[in-house]
Amino acid sequence: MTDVYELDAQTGVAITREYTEAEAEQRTKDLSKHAALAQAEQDRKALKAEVIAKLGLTTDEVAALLS
Amino acid sequence: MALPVTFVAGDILEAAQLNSNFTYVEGLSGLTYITQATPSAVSSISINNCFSSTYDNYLVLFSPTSNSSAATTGITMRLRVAGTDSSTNYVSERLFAEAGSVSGIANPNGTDEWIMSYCKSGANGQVSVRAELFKPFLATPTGYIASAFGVDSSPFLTINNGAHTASTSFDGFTVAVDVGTITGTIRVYGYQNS
Repeated sequence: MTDVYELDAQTGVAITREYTEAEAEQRTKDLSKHAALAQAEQDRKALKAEVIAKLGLTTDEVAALLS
Repeated sequence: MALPVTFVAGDILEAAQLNSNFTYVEGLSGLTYITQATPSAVSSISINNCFSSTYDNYLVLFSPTSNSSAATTGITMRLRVAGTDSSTNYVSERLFAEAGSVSGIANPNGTDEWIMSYCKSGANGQVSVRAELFKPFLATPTGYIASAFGVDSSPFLTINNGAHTASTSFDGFTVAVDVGTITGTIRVYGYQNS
């Protein structure tokens, strides 16, 4: 698997290459951050579902409330 | 000379007049194709030197034809200059709508990049993204508006609007996926200034 496709729009030259050391380090940080953000989003969804359950609304009422 | 120059039978066609007419015709289009990238099975796509002083504002269209990730993965964007991505000063607000439910969140991917949208493998992972970049080449903050429509467990849309708040001149950008690789075509267009 190649990591990067890089195109120079002025020359039209495109290359594929592996990540540089700095890019690989940034990518590791990104993936870690994205995993944490995805978990936080799941937690928010779960909290929302919990609140809706507490309110005792029907499915139609929930749809009307959220649309 | 008044443009377009109109010729009648028997006229001598001067090079300057013809060239002026070509320039005139090019200027009639509000949108000008700049370049396209055709990556295959990569996790990051960088396009350098696509922004210039010719245009203030740009359109980026991207609809991956395939993605290797079975799980839904984010598609992100960073601005870059001289071959290096900027990873600070991004702010954004995302609207996400799926199955009639709408949610909003500030800085959904933090402040070190923008989210464009989401995709995954298979027919139900396709997404079409339209991103507009405002003044990326000028040494002013850059505006960002990305809207997308895709299909996950159900159809969804995302609107991600934001800015890069530093007064930096950028000459390109990087699009990446969190998980797996993507294949497709990214096209870049410039909006005529006048």
